[in-house]
Amino acid sequence: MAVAPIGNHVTPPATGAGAPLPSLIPGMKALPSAADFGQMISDYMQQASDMQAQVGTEIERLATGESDNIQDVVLSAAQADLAVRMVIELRNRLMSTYQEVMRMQI
Amino acid sequence: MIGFPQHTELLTKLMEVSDIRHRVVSQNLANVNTPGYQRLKVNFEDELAKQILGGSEVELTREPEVVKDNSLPVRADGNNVDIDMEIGELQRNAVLYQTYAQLMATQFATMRMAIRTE
Amino acid sequence: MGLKRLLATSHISASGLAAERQRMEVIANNIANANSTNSLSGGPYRRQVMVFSEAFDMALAGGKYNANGLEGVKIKGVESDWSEMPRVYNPGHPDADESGMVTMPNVKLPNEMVDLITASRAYEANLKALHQFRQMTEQTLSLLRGIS
Repeated sequence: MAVAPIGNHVTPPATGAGAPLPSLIPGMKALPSAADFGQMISDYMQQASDMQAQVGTEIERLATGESDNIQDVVLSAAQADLAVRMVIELRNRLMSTYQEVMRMQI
Repeated sequence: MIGFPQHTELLTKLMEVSDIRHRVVSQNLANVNTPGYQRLKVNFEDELAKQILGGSEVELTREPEVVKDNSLPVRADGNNVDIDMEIGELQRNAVLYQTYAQLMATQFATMRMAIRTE
Repeated sequence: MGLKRLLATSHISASGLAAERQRMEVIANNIANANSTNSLSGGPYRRQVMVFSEAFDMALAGGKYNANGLEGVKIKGVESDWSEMPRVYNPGHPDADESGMVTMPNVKLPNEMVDLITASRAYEANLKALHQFRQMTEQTLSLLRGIS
């Protein structure tokens, strides 16, 4: 699911960076402001991917008996699922906004 | 694909092992009053743990082992099946199976959503 | 793969249910005849014991002792308990001999009750395994839900 960069590549200013973007869901770190929406999407996707990998670890922990409850893996999976869905939703919104902007008569 | 759910193979294998374990426990319960019968158990999780600790890639093609369990005391009729222990195994296995199935369903749902968007 | 192999796990539990149920019949018969001094074969009733053996199909298992060949339990047969029949003093009994002793069946009610409870517990446990298998199958099938 490759994402084309949206907008021009602008080097963010060295000082006085913009306000940090909110983290997608609790547990995900807030990202520093990115002028490049494409980069932002990539970063969020990487976070979602890391959360998916965490699910794999939790499944293994449950299967080998290292974990003695199912809450860890279920919560981890719910969060990861939510993260992926939000990234997809975010990307869709940005795409449609971009297309709308491009359609505007100047 | 970044962020794409990726644990369906592992979950499938775990569900398979749970299925085999249920069959083995059923056999133990059917033979709880059979003279001379030794209970059976399934070995898979310890092998999995060893592979993970060893740091190597988890090998999912390996088959679980069904072996006789001689560690339990034998009753007068030579049978060593403890009915309460087997029922406990049954419950625990059922919870694990349901968890794996639910996780699998979640992964499928996420994948379907990802495919559906343009 | 025939339908029978698809439901092999439930077949295991079903064999357990059938075996324990028949065993309970034998036990019930012992209890009913605890005082029968005239059995069909002549003489006092002799306690009957049902014997089980493990059911396993080596051909299905492919030569090794693994999960594919498990078939539950089968009834080996009903055997007589050849332990000694107690003799009690009861001169008024129609089957008393010259010294007033009657040979009674070798059925001990407490033992039969324990056997009955054991068989009953085993029956319940096999039933539980059967229900659980059905649940697991339903959960697996539910994965298909949502796929249009």
